[in-house]
Parts: sequence; structure tokens; C-alpha cells
Amino acid sequence: MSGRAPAVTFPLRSIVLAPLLAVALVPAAIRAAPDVGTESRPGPPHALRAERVLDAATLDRLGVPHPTRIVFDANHCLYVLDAAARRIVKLNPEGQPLWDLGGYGDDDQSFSLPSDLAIDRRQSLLVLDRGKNALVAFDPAGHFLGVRSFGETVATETADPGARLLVDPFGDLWLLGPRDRDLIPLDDRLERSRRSRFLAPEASAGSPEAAAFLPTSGGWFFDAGGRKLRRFGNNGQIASAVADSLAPSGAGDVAVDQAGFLYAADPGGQRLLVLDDQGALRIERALGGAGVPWHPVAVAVSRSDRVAILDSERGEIQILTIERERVP
Amino acid sequence: MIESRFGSRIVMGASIGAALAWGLGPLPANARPIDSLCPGGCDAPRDTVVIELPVARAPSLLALRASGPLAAGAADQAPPDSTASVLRNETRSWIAAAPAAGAAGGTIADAASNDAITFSGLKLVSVEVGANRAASMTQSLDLTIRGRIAGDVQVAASLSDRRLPFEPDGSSRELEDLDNITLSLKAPHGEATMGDFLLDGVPGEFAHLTRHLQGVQGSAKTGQAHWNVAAASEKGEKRTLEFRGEEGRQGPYPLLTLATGESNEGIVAGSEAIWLDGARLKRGADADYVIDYGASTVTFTIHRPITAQSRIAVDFEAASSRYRRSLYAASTQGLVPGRGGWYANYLSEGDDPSSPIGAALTADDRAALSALGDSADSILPSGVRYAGPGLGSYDWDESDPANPHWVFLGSSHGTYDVDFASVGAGEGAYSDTTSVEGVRFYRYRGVNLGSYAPGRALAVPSSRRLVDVGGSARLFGALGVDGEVARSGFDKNALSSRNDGDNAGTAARFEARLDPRAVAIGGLKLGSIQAQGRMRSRGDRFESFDRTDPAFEYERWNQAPSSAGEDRQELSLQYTPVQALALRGDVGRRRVTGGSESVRRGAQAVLNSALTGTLSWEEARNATSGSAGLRSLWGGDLGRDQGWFQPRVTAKDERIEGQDGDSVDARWNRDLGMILRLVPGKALKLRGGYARHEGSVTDAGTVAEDQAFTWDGGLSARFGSSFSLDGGFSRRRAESSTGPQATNLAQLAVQAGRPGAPVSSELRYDVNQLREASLVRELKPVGDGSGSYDAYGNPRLGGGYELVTSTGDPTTRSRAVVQVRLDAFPSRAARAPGKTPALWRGLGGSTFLRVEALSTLPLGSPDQAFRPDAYLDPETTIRGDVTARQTLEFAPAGRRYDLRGEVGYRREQSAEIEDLTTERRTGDARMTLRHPIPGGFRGTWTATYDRARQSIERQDATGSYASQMRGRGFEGEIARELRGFGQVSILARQRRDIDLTHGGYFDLWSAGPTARYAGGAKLRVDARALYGWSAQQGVYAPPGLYTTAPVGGRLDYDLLGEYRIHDRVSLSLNWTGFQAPNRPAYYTGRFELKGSF
Repeated sequence: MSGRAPAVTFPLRSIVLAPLLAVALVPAAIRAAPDVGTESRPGPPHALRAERVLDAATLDRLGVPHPTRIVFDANHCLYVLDAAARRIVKLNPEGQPLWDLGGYGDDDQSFSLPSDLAIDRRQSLLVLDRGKNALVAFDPAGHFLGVRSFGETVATETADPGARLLVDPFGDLWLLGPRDRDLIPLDDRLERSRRSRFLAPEASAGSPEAAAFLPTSGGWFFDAGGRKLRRFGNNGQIASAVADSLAPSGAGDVAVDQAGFLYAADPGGQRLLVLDDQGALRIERALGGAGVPWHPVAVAVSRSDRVAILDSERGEIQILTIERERVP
Repeated sequence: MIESRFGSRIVMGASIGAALAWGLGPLPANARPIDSLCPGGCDAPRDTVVIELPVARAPSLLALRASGPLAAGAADQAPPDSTASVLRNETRSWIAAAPAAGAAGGTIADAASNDAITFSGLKLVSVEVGANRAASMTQSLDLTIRGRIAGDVQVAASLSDRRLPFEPDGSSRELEDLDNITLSLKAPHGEATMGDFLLDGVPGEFAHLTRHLQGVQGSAKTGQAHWNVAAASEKGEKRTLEFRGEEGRQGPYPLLTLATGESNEGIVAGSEAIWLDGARLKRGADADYVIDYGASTVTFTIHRPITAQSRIAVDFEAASSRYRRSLYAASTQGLVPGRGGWYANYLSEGDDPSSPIGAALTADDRAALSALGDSADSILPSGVRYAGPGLGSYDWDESDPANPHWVFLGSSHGTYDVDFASVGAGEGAYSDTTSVEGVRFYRYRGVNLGSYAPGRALAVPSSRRLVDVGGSARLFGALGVDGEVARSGFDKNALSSRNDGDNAGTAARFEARLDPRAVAIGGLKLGSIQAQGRMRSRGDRFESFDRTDPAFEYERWNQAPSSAGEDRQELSLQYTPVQALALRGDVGRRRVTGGSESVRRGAQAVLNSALTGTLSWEEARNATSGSAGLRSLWGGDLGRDQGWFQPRVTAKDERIEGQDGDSVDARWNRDLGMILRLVPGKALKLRGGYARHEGSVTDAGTVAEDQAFTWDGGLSARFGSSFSLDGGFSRRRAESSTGPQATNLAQLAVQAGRPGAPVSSELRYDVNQLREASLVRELKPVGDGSGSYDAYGNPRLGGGYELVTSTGDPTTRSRAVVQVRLDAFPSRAARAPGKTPALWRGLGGSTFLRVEALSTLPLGSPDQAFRPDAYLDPETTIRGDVTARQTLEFAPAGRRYDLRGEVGYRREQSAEIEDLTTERRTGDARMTLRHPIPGGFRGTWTATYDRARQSIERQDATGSYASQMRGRGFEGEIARELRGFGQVSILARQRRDIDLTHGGYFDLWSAGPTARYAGGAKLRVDARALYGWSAQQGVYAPPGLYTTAPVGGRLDYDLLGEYRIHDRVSLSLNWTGFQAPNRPAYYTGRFELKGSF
């Protein structure tokens, strides 16, 4: 072995000057930032009203007979992914198909094993393709934007069937890594942007299977290992779980609305739960039973107060309207 | 309220009187709305009934909601008799009731009636500093707007100017510079859209066009008239292509024929429409075709076997490579109820000469183009620019006085910059090549030995316009007439006024239709009759924007393909004696510019009963200045489309003599086919077919016969979402005067287990047959000290060899892909509540195997398909690889330890360079163990091992090259969470890469702390420092290593902090850098303020 210890000289001048510059800019930047402090929030939901059913025949016609993931964009259009058919359909708010893309293939615009969807802050569609171990992006018109491989530091996570994509309220991309049992922030190169864990303490993270960021602070995740819905803060600190009776059984999914209410799909219980930010139950919506089973495996919420839930086995999507109480 | 076992409810909110009023007649004059009763707290409008209930065998709860006639807004909703709306497949928009995020409370119905706008988005301001760079500040805004303005007007917009720097005066850039903007305004009488849109549906046959555009479009409705306008930039230039397939070639078929001055920029993704024998195809490897948008080629899948008789038509938009293009469109159409309608269009599109793609036009360029007129496609000015010594890339070499030429010396090593233009194979003296650094340059080959010449190709900007007026009217109840007149202008050179006198062309058409009329004699119903007459005239110089006729229209008339003018008259008559049978006859005459005239007759019977089929005959007699031709076609098919047994037979006999423009005297084709489909149930479908083709070509008394036989079969099985199987094969044997040709295609896709289920698996097998001109790549010796490669094709400056690529003859190859995947994660299975899962459920693993081969063997034929060694046979494999990966894990749910392992293997084989066979085998393994350590610590240990072997053999010499590498690495991390504070850890790594070929190795050590601090709910700081040092021992020269990694010590550090100033405002700091002796320190910092709203 050869080599010697480096003579380390930190860039002291820049380290000192740059924070000073930033601190000087903060007051001005805060003034320039949007005034969000006085915004009123929609009232709490008190009913879910069935508005539309995309039945098996309709989904079959659209080329997504067994949808696996759904997501709304800011324009209230619904994206539906059928992982087996490798096809994504975009539906307008009237439920009519706008375009579809995908299909199995090796080319950039086809998919190998698409496993999740997300909408970024520019309303581009991001597709997690674990077969290609890459993120494929399309613009809102369905035009191919690009494909980028995940970095080495998260490649093992993204190859897992349970990996999920999330976009936080600030537009940053996160990965729910079932192997690391953590929410992993990604940088522009799709590498892990922080070395240390986010969800802490790790012992409380269990086996995160689904997560959603709240519009204001922190978020929720579903611990499939302990069958618990857990809240986490901005700094990743995990708070106590809600009552066991409210946690989904089976591979559940969670989403939040603009007012911060949690929508938890419970495939085992064949129900959709709506909880407030303290974990108190607001609505329990039964979806099926022994005679007519309906197992919701994915849930999405739009800013137009619509909830979409899907039963992959049955091949159906329900669109529910959120009815809210008045806020004085 | 009634609670069902599913938790549904029935809310009766209206009075019985009101409810009765809906069904029993008008309300009394003194009727008043009655408050809705909502036991569950429902805020339904007054006088409303809301019922939610599960329906047997239906998927979910249905909400039935009906408003009484006195309920708010009821008059604008459903008619009074629609007391309930079943919500399945209804078309009500779910944004219509969009609430305002910022609005204060209220129900959906309330929000819908408000004039409220929702704003959402993200504002970002950041400052970046760094070593050897000036500080910079950037901002971005992502904004989405949706809602109602001014009553019925809805607005939806999204805007993003991310990554645009501030302008010096603080203002934003022009709107067109924004990265992304979409805007949509909708009102009852019109709408406007800004952004990406598809322009389609312009009325009129001559004005038909489809374009993917980016710009503005608007529409308005006034009375019975609709108005539409659009102004946009085009993403590409519309092209149409018609060609015959090649026997045994599924692809790739090139779609772009480049004009001088054009480079292959590819095809606008998603713009293509492809037809095969008149049927519109669908993109996808498991559908009909795959398209390479970058290379502009299309390849058909096994579902669409291509033969010499296949007629292929493609419409697409070629990405603009010459000038930015724009399109303006305005159209209006109106209805006269019961009497007809009218429409008028104005269209204009073309290149923008002021916006060439690439270098701007100089004054000389413009002058040259202006003087050019429409007579040529391009000109070639000098293309040579004097840059100054050491500032250019080329020098003029006169060492051989007979052949002075330009020599590339590298960037900033020559005196001149020289542009080269493609002039066609064998027409130039230079060929293009790429240096090791990836720079494209041109090398002198000799007169007429290359494809390029010094010079700069100038593309000629073109433009076209069209004015179109048409209308329709109904006469005497059953007679409809339709007329259209269009005038076009096509300027081949928009920068020149020369030759502009011939730009204009005219087209007109007139149609008359007799709607189906019942025929009866003396009360005896004899069915119905309908007729259509049509006249169309297109001037020689008329230019439409898109195709106005179906593909291969000229063949129907036995004439030559032509875009020149034509006069056409057609008359058709259809008699339908019974619903199951239709008889149709038609006659027509077509005269095209040049004197060719054709008269066509046809008859067709269509059967539509338990058996379905057609019987058709058509004949076209053409004549041109003394010569005459004839095309006759008999065809038919008969079969059954329902039930489990669905046979069908098809037959066709086509004789062609004296077709205009044909290179031979006569052709004859006869096709017979039998197809049998078995459909025992929805879940299972079987298909088999046999087809036979016979044909002949007669030319100058010589008859060349050909024949072909095709067998194909398929199977499709589905059981819910858990299992699917799709497979098929196609074998074809063709004999022609050029020799035998075989086609073997096969495909199989098996999926078991739902995606994301505890166990899922997949098998894919696909063999396609390609034919393309082979690229012959040869290593040519250029002398010691020069060249970019060594004798074995390894990139090495001064290695004595250059890689020369030339185009060889087309060769047939088969491309095979075999892929197997198995995922088993029992932990994903649902568990009984309150039950701890068994330890074995923590076991999981994923298996992946993929073999891909491009081979000269027919891998789709049964004798080769099942030979594993055929797929990477060194003698026949042009390019191939095997990738295998296996992961195993033991991660019990709820436990604090887990163990994961992964092994991989890859073998690559290539014979793409003449006389050189390259093989590379790599293997790797990784094992990670995480477990708790007493004292609240946690350990994570990772060990890796990899090995690579590369061998290259020259077949024209005895020498060979071999390289062996081996690497191993260890990583350990001990971490401890500090309750209420954060986490600290120590990380240590070591890796050694050993060059077994030369005996040397390269070591890398690193170690350092990582810390995380979480201060309350608002602050989070992550910091890391890693001190490492590297050393090299002996000769370490792995293949592909051009620059030696610096040895010695190095310190890497990064700091990432985030503070939430407010729930929706965040301030973050990211600082990263490194320090190393004898190297300048590097650091970069970024401060970011983000606000979401």
C-alpha cells in the first residue's frame, strides 16, 4: 500500500460566506414565497358517494383488464396501469380514454415489468419499471420524455416487486424501499440522496408496503409486517400507530386528500377507511362481502375530491365522490 | 335510514308529495321545496332523494340520486322523468363538481356552483456556490390552475419555468421560452387550448389532415355554426409511404428517405399509422409491430407475417431536421337543420426560413436559395471556414499533389473548420467515422470511394396552403348531395419567387347519394336499394396536406402510382333483398395526367347470417397511348364467426396484364387459405391455418413461377388475472426464381401469478426474422503509433489499427429472446389478523434468466428452437448474450435482522468485427447481513466478489487476447439510533481489484462517520465524511482502462440539512465536496427555498 494522508484544507471562505448569503436571502425569499398561511382547507369528509364504475368490460376494452395501480394528476385525469398487460391508459374526468401507451417490449416506450406510477410536479407521468430497473417518463400528452436507470445505491430496492414511487408536496421524488424498510429520497440522478435512514426508529418501520405524504407535514405508511397504519413526521420520526382494527389486512394501499385525510384501502376487510390526521376514523365504506367480494388493492385521491379504488382480480375501478362537511 | 350488512344506507330526503310529483304530473302552483332529511348528515340539496345500496352481483354500492323539480339546479340537470341515475357508464364529468381548495367549506354541490379557482404548485428559489465557479441564483415555478371564472367558463392551466435563470432585470422570459405551458378555457359556446394538441377532423376530403402540434387552438359556436382556429408549431413533417413487403423479412423496414440537407432526426413518437393489407395495426412487441423512432425503422411481429404480397402503408411525422415548421388553420362549419350543411377551411403550413435547425442562414445562403427557384433540392456552398492556427479541426494536405484533401487533426489542432455533406454512396471522396472520444469526423478515401463531400448542405424551405369550401344538401327527402372545391398553393422554395407561377392547383368533387329505399311491388316487400354517384377532379398541381385516397388505390385501376392530376367518375348500386344478403355493383372511370385511362367494374355479394362471407369480382381495363391492360380479381371467403367451431375458407385469383408503370408484362396470383378457430370457452382459444400461394410473372415471353405454403397456429388461454398463455408460430416456405426462402416465426408468453402477488412468474420466447444490409466492420492496420484500436479491437490510441465500417449485402438473420422470471415472496401473502407469521415466510427470492441472440440460424424452426447450444453458437451468432441473476433473502417480518444474497452471471458474445470473435464472461456475488448488536447498535455487513474474463480471437492469425479480472470488497457499518436525537454510524469499506493477466492490483480503503440529527419536527441534518486512500501494486491494466485512477488519500464530505419554516415552506442546504493532496479541492453548495401551495 502506498499513499499518505491528505493535507485537508476546507474551503473556509466559501463555507462561511455562502451561509451568510443564504441567511441574508431568506427573509426576501420568504416574502417572495406564496402566502399560504391564510388558506382555508376543505371540510372533513362525511360521506363517499359512488359516482362511476369502470367495469370489467370497460377496462377490457381499454386494454387494462386487470389494473394494478392508479393515480390522479392535477387536472383530475386518472392514469390506470395494468402491470400484466404492460399498458397505461389515461382517462379524462369524464371517464373517456385520452390515450394509452406501453405494451411489452425492449424499446424505450415499452415496458418490461412496470410496477408503479407517480405524477411529478410538472404533471409528467413517471413509471417505475423494475424489469428495466429504470424510470420512464411521459408528458401529459403521452409523449415519451425519457428513460433513466436507477442508481446503483437503490437498484436493489427498485427491483423489488413492492417498491413504490412517491412525490412529496415539494415535488421531490421518493422511493418506498421494502428491503430497506424505509422511504428513500432520490436525487436528480435517481440515486439515494441521503445515506442515513429517513424513517426512524427503524424498529417501528416494520415492513412498509404503502405510503403517502400529507400536503402539509409528514405522512402515513402502512406497515404490512405489523399490520399497522403509522404516521411519520417531516423528519422521518415515526409516531404511534392507529388502532389495529383500522389497519388494512393484506396488501393495502393508502392515499391522502388535499385536506390531509387518509384513505386506506383494506383488501382483506373489503372496505375503504377514511381517517383524520390524528388517526380517528371518519368513514368506513364497505365495498363487498362474502357473496359479492370486492378487494381494493389500490387507492388514489384527486384534488377534485374524487377517490378511485380498484379491485385487480375483479377488474373494476370505482370512482367515489367525497362529500364534506361545512367549515364554519 | 336502512343499514345493510355492507354498511350501505338509503336516505329518503324528499316529501312523498314531491316524489309523486316526479312521476304523476305537473306540480301544483303552490308547491314549495321541502328540506331533505339526511339522517347520516348528508348535505344534499333540498327536495332530493339519495339512495345508496349494494346490488346483487354488481361490483359495488350504487348511489342513486334524484332531485325534485324544485331542488336547486334541478332544471339544468336530468329531465323530470329521470328520477334515478344509474351511475355505471354515465358521462357526467367528475370535475364538474370540483371543490375549491381554498374555498371555505361547503358541499360539493355548493362548490360547484361557486366561481372558484384552485391554484396549486411549487415555487423554488435556490443559490448555488462552488469551487471555480461564480455563485448563481435560480428560480422556478410550477403552477396548476383549475376552476371556474365568470360563471360557466372553466379554466385549466399548468405552467412551468423550472431551471430558467432570472433575467438581469428580474423579469421572466417570454412566454414561448417557458419549458412547459398548457392552458385550457372552456365555456358553453367555445373553448381554447394552449399547449400540445392533436389537430384532426378538419371537414372536407381535400382538407383532411392529422398533426401533432404545440401551440394554440380555439373553437367557438354561434348559432348553428362552429368556428375553429389553430396556430402552432409542428413537431415534424408529414410523410406517407407505400411499399410491398419482402418475402421472409419481418423488418427492419426503413421509413425515412433523407433528402440532402436532412439528417435522420427520427420519427415523432406516436405519430405513425401503419396499415398492412388495409388493416390498421397496433404497436407493441406482443401486438403487430415495433418501431424504432430514433432509427426510423419498423419491424413486424409474428402476429403479422410479411410476404412478398404484403401491402404496407405508413403515415408518420418525421422529426424536423431542416427548419422549424408552423401550421395555421381556420375552419368553420354549419348546419341547416334538415337541409344540409356547409364548411370552409384555410390551412397553411411550412418551413420557417428564419428558423433553420442548426446553423443560421447567412446572407450568401439566402441569396443562393433565392436564385435557385424550384429547380433543385439543395446547393452546396463551400462549407470551409478559416479558424486560425490551432483553432480549427482540419488542415489542407497537399502531400499528394494528385489528390490534395482535408485531414482531420482533432479539435483545436487544425487551421480550418470544414462541413461535410452526404452526397450518396460512391459519389463523394470522404467517409465518416468516429474517434475514440466520440467526435465524428471525415476521412479522405479517394475520388468516388466515399459518401461525403466538403460543403454545407442547405435545405430548401417549402410551404403550402389550401383553401377549401364545401357543402351538402338534402333533396326530396332521400337524396343527399355533397360538393367541395379546393385550391392549393405549394411553393417548393419559399425563399425564391422564381418558378412560383406553377404553385397553384385546384380540385373539386361532387357526390350524390340515394339513402336506402324500400322496394315493393304490389305490397310485396322486395328489400331495399341505395345508390351513390361520385365525380372528382384533381388538377396536376393540386397538393393536399394528407392522403386523400386509401393506400394502393392505383392498383385498383391497374394504373401507375402517381400524385399527378386525375378525373374520376364512379357509380355504385346496392340492393339488399333480405337483411342477411347484400348485392353491390359499381362502375367507374379514371383518367390520370399523362393519358392513362381506366374503366373499372365490380360486383360483390355479402352474406351475413349463421355463415358470413363475401364473393367479389372486379375488373379494370386501362389504356395508354395504344397499349392496353387488364386487371381482374375474383375473391371470396366463407365461414362461421360464432360458436366454438369457427372454420373459414378464403380464395383469391388475381390477373394483371399491362399495368401502367409495371416493369413486367403480366402477373398472376392465386391464394387459397383455410383457418380453423376453436373457442371452447372465454378462457381458451385455439387457431390453426394453412395457406397456399401460386403465382407467376411473365416478361418478354419468359414465365417465372413462384409458390409458397404457410402453416400457422396459435393458442390463447386465460384464467382470471393469475394465468395467461399466448403463443403462436408461423412457418412459410416459398419457392421462386431467386431460390427457396424460409420463414420461421414463433412466440410464447406465459404469465402465472398476479403482478405483486406472493409468487409470480413469466416466460417469454420470441423469434423474429430480420433482413438488413449487414454492416461489415474490419480492423485495418494503419501503422504503429497511429490508429485508435489495437489488433483485437480494444480502443487504444496509437494501437496501429482503425475500425472501418462498410455496408454489405442484405442477409437474413433471426433474433431470438428467451426470458424467464420467477418472483417468490411469501411475506406478501395476506395473514390472519393478530397472527405472527411463520419464520419461513421471511424467505424470498427472485430468479431471472434472459438469452438474446442475433443469429444466422433459423432459430424459429423446430429443429433449432429446442437446441440450447444453437442460441450462442460461436459459428453462427452475430451478437448474443446471456444474463442470469438469482437473489435470495431471509427477512422475517417484524424482526430486526435480515440476510440477503445475490449472484449474477453474464456472458456476451460478438462476431460483429470481421475475423474477430469476442467473448466476455462475468460473474458476481453479494451477501448482506443486518442484525442488532448489544447496546442498541446495529451492524450491516456486505461482502462482494466478482470475476470477469474476456477473450478475443483473430481468425486470420494465430494470436489471441485474453484478460482476467477479479475483485472483492467488504463493507461494514455500525449504527446506533439516539432516541430523540437522530442516528450515528461508522462506515468502513475495502475493495481490491486484481488484474490476473498482468499480476497487478488496485486497492481502495475508506472509512468515516455518518450522523443524522432530527431536531423536533422541523429540522433534519445529515452529515457524512469519508476518508479514503487508494494504491496500485504492479501492472494494473484491465481492458478499457484509458486513464489511471489517481492514488493517494482523499476526503469526501457532504452535509444535507432541511428546516421547515412553515408546513408548506422548506429551506434546505446541500454541501458536498472533496479534498485530495496535489489536486485542487472541489466543493459545491446549494441553498434552496421551496414553497408548495
